[in-house]
Amino acid sequence: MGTLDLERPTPSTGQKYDELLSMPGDMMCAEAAAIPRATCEYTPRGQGFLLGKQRSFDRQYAHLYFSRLLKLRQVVQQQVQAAWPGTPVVKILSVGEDQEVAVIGTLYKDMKLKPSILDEYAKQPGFKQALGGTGFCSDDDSLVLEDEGARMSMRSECAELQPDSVVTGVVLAVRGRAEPGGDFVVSGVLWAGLPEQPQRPLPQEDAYVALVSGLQLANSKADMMQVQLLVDFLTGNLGAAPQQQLAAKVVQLVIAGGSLGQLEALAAANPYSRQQTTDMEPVRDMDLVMTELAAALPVDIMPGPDDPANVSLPQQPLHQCLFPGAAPYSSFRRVTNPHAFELDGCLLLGTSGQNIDDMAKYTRGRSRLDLLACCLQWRHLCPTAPDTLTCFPFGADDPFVLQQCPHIMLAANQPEFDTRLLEGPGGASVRLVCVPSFITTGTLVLVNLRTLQCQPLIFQSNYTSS
Amino acid sequence: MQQARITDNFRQQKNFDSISRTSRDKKQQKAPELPGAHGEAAVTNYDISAEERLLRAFDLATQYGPCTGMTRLERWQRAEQFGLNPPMQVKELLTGPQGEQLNQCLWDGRV
Repeated sequence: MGTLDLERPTPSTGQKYDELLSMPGDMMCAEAAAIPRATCEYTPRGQGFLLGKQRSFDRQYAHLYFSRLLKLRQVVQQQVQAAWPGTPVVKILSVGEDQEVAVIGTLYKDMKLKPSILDEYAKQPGFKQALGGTGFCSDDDSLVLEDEGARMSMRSECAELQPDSVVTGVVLAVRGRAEPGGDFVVSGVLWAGLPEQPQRPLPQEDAYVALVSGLQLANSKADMMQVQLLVDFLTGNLGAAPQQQLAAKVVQLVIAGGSLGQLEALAAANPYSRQQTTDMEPVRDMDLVMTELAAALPVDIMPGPDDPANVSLPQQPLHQCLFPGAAPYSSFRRVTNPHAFELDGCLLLGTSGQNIDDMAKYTRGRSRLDLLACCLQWRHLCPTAPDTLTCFPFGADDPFVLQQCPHIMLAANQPEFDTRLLEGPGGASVRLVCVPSFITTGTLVLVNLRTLQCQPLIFQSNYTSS
Repeated sequence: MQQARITDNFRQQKNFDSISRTSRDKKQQKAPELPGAHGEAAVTNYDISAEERLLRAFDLATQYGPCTGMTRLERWQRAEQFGLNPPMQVKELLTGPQGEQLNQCLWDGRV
């Protein structure tokens, strides 16, 4: 972690855990004044991810790709005019051999190892090879460009555009010429680039947004002691004055998916058996944890990959009946995945990690943080949907196209903590965070809204219930 | 004096007959037989009105995107939103008195 630019914790002033351990009526106890929690103005920005009454699944995904191409074409076209003045922009059908042209289209990656339902019928050995590897990349992957009229295969001579580093579904512009054999030889490439970042007022004082994911309360390895330590820290019941002062600066907690995980016991149970009551215990535990948190600070809960919500992106908020205790709190918000909101003008955008997990399977040599940066560079939150990532068949819109550049962007449920400050053109700076799964790492991530610096807090307990 | 019975107000049985009939009616409405789609006249489209001809040309214009799975009006509005300048006549037809019947695309109920 030495290479990461992390915020250092406030040095302890030698105080021990005096206030919390002192006798009632003690002098120390009386002196300790209540620490007020900082507050922030919260504005939801993810209305496009709410499906509402749309429940029509009989549409084809062609509409989504069409909307994506049309939404991003104008942006990419501006980039082309700025970077390659004089190069004509043409449709695929009118690409000639005589002249160098620019073409805007959607990328498709032809992959031998990509699992396909048709393999079972075609009896090709491709699927078996895929089972052995960790990713689905192979050395003979090739790139294809599509627009609304046609598709053409590409051979790239440019280092930025190699099959291993890109994914299906990205809208881009390529420059080059068609060779007599039929392939388009690419000599230059342009992405949509970072969207415009809204200006934000710089806060005078430190305020933190806390990010956590993957509590996995239904998992047999879940450690309630560890979770309780997290809750106690956030509610200000842990540590001495410096820790409590830090906790009081947390203005918002985002639980980015994976709170429950798979309820395997419940899925297998006989609906009439009494066993069901004990199998439901994780759901009650989750409600208890949320109630305790919501009583202390604003909480946003997003659904994650294994949670009891719909699988396809955008995942809709978890059902209210899962939280009989926490739901009445106005500080408790059940939100979508992906989720976007503003805290005093600081825009935060995050997913529970499905987009990055899926892109990681289909690329080589890029870290999870790089892929998160790519999402911004490509101006699309989950380019692999709907190809390898399931998503709702939108008609006239692609809500995953980024309209504004966030100040903080996160992917949750990742294998390890990672962070970087991405500097964009025009003074834009984005804090990228990979939030690790709490059950395996015990990590809570605090991001400072003033400086956009980031610090992980790790909770560990050696307590065993047996 | 005749006693009022509860079944006077509440039906004893669901009227399945009427339900199935309406759904069947709907289906028939949804997939009207194309004039001259089969048999000798399969190639010609002699009895298609000028309006329908215009709307079919709009359906088959690829620059406005795929046409199945959404109504013609939705597709027109999407094209407008993306600045593709779809033909104004199409909108006038679709928002006119005949709009409801003309709103489904060429392939509706056939693919």
